[in-house]
Amino acid sequence: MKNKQYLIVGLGTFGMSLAKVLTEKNAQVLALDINKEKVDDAVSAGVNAVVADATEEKILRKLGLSDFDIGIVAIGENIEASILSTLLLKDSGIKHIIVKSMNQSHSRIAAKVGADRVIYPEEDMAIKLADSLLSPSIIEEIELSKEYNLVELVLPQSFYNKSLSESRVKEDYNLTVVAIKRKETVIADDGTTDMKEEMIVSPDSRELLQEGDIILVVGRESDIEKLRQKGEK
Amino acid sequence: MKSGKKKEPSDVFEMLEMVTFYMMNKKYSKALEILKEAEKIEPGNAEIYYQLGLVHEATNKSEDAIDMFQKSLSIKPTHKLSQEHLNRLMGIK
Repeated sequence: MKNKQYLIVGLGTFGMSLAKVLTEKNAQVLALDINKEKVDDAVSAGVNAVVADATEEKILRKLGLSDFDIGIVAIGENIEASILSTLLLKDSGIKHIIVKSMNQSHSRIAAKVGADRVIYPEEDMAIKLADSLLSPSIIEEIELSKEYNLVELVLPQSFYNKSLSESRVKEDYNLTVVAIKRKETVIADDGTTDMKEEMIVSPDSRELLQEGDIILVVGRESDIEKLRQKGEK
Repeated sequence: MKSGKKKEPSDVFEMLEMVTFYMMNKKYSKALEILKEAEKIEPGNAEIYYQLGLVHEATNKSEDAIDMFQKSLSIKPTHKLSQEHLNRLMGIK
């Protein structure tokens, strides 16, 4: 399979992190920013980056962007520049454009000028933080579909020292435990006490649940909520 | 460990070994009990707070764990494992 090529416009905190992670994972990346210092930082981290203004059609044409599969417009503060660069990236033949949105108006305009996907990293993070503050027993939540979620949940106390089948998570809550995260105390070679985390994927029904376990369950949000409430009683 | 008489700082090492034993066997409340006793005997021992942090981390009480790792570091800023666990819990890369 041909490796995809990614163009990242804007090397703010989000764009820079994205560029670094993609590069670390051996993806083909080209990052653009008008700020030389930011480009130098990216280059020193191994990212293929150049100083260029992505709102200048001539410059983009010189870069020959049609070979890129995915363009990510990660311009942080300048909505006008973000919209213009979205339009130019689309015109240059990039197949899929993702735009980091600053607000709802920005999202709507970006969609009209060719964005295929709009993301709200700050808003998404705020929602996650709010969820974790309101439901401390939920460590992580991933929406699998409109109905089904995958959730990391602190094991309710009433399940301590019960086998998975005895816990009746499936029968009473209609949830499937797909994995268990377990912390184990270990003694290092130098005699120090430390902890390591192991992941038991697709646990056997005889697996004994233990204090401190985090269970990964798949199911309907309402069923997950019932189990969560049991844990917080 | 000397029993039946008042414990001294020299007993703390042995107490911490007991804590590790209890933690390995997931007897976290017992481990916590001994650590609190050890804290009274030697409140300036960073290792006690590090292990308190581990017990809280093992039982998913992240905020309490962070407090304990910070306390361990305030006593011994070079406590590498306290720093590692603290960074991980605080999401510091």
